[in-house]
Amino acid sequence: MGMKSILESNYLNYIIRLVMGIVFIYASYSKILDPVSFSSNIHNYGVTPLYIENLIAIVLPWLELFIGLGLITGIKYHASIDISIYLMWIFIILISQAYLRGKSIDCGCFMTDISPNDAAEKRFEMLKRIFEDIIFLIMLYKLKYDANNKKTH
Amino acid sequence: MNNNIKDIFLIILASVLVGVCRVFFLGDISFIKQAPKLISDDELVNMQLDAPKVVTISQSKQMFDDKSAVFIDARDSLLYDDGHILGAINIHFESNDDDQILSKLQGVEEDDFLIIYCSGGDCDLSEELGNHLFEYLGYTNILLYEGGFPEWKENGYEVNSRE
Repeated sequence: MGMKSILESNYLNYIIRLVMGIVFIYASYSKILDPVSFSSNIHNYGVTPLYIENLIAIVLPWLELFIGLGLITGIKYHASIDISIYLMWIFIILISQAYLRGKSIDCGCFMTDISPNDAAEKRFEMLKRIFEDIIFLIMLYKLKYDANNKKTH
Repeated sequence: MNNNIKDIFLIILASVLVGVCRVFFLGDISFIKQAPKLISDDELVNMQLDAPKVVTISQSKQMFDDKSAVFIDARDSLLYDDGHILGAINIHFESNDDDQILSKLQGVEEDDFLIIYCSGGDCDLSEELGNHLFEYLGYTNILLYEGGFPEWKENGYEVNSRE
């Protein structure tokens, strides 16, 4: 099978749906089981007032679970893709702003408050996260493009 | 297209409902956060805190002069070595496990006042350490000095410093 036909095939889309679905469900699973540490993770981004942090802690895990299921099962498929794309953009923006402000999302501390070695490692981790999310975003846009053209589903 | 927007709202609504139901039915509000409140004078005298509380610079300085509180520096050891509040113990939460934290606090009573600080501003290290000491290690009188080392130094108060 040539590159073009792989890209156009439904198999690739099914794999993307499965991968993204698992990514979202996995992300929601740990948050649902351990809301306390998720809640302090949100705090580490240092952008939201407390009541919004609380709202995110309550809603986001379930949102991720539902869109993950939606992507895999195809129920509310279009809406699930759209929400996934919004979320990915939000994640990318949130991590980037923290990165640019020199704030670690791992500990919520400022890079200037920790040793240079730790800071370098945390910066690298954040860049990796941004890179991952961009890859996810590209995959989601492929799903959206194909869904709009009625190739799948 | 309109259907899609309806579906998006439906999914978000479902998430809100399930999330709120979880909070109400399980009564699980341990992850709902509240900002620490400023300590009252009564609480300073009675030494009975229901949560870590915030102290002002003047309260901190007063307790420093009276030697009525133990100061804890929650920053990285490099910054601590560069300069810290005179006599402060260095506990960087991330690089110490519970045993290490407890051994650094040897000789400190569980109901002693602990004033925890870091770099001021957005720095959360003191709050994280304070919550941990309060919730898991049994220290009952946790105070957070939010101005932190920069404010203390600017005021010309007592420090250990390399310079």
